[in-house]
Amino acid sequence: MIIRRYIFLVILLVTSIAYFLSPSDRALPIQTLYQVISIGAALVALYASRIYGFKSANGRAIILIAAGLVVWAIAEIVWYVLQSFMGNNDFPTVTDIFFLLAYPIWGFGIYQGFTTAEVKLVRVRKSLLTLVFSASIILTILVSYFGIYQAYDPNADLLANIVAIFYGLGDLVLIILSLLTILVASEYRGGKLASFWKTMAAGFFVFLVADILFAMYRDQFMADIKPYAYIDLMWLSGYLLIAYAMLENYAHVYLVQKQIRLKLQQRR
Amino acid sequence: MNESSKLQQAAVELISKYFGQNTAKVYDKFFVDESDSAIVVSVNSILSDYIGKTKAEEEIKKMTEGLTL
Repeated sequence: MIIRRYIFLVILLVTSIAYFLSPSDRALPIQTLYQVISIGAALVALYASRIYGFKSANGRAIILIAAGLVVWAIAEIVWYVLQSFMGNNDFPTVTDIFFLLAYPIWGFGIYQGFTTAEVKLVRVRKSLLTLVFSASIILTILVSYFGIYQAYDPNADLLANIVAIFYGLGDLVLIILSLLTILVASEYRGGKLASFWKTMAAGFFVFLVADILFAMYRDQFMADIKPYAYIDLMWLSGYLLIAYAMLENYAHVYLVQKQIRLKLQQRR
Repeated sequence: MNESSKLQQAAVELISKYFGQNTAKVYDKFFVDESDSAIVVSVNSILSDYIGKTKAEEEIKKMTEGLTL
């Protein structure tokens, strides 16, 4: 487990160094590195989630979250091809369909996790509830202002404005999802599944902060101005956190399967 | 179906809920020659580790409700 954790940390560290040292973070080598890591993380998550099968209630939640991550990775690839090879910086494009599609998929997944956990709010520590709701209110204000109100551009066409506002709405959904993952983690206190959901919450929170920063500093980000270009590292952190959580969870379930198969063999 | 079979089925369903069908199938084979108390102990053990002691006890209680063991 420690080795796995260090691998993910090393990947993030090496990527961060590459970003810091690169004269241009929108250049092909850096963006290719970003793609490799984000797609790799999404595939790891998808592979790890398969151990459950879709018939398991807990499994459905985890598979749907992994699927959402894969959809985002597809969006990243499309954006990479359009920007890096076709010089297309238009908004919106087909990329946005995939980015926006991930939010309802994650929504279904986390809702499934929430209903499976049968969260009882009376059991959640009041201090945790207060912290989470306070953070949610602050984030809601930030998203509503930067992601929805400021997203409206009177010079852009209707479609561009609709898509831009939908991203803000997607981030409002992400706030709710992050809140639900923390409540689910609380329900499984003391168990490995609690660690899984806490890491998920951290991953979604990092995605959310990256999205807010992107909404605030989109022009500077697209102009490749440091440190705004480092918002990419936050998205990458989110990918890596979710992949790490999936892999740790997979390792545990795999171990459980291995142990019971061994007991069966010893019996024969 | 006798009470022991019902318990085994309920235990396998509970394992499937959290660990998936593949794990549940292996436990189904394992439980065939196990006593009721051994089944409950086994499920409690893997669940406590995975979903926490409090949640595991809740799930076990629901699993054994209505069964005469």
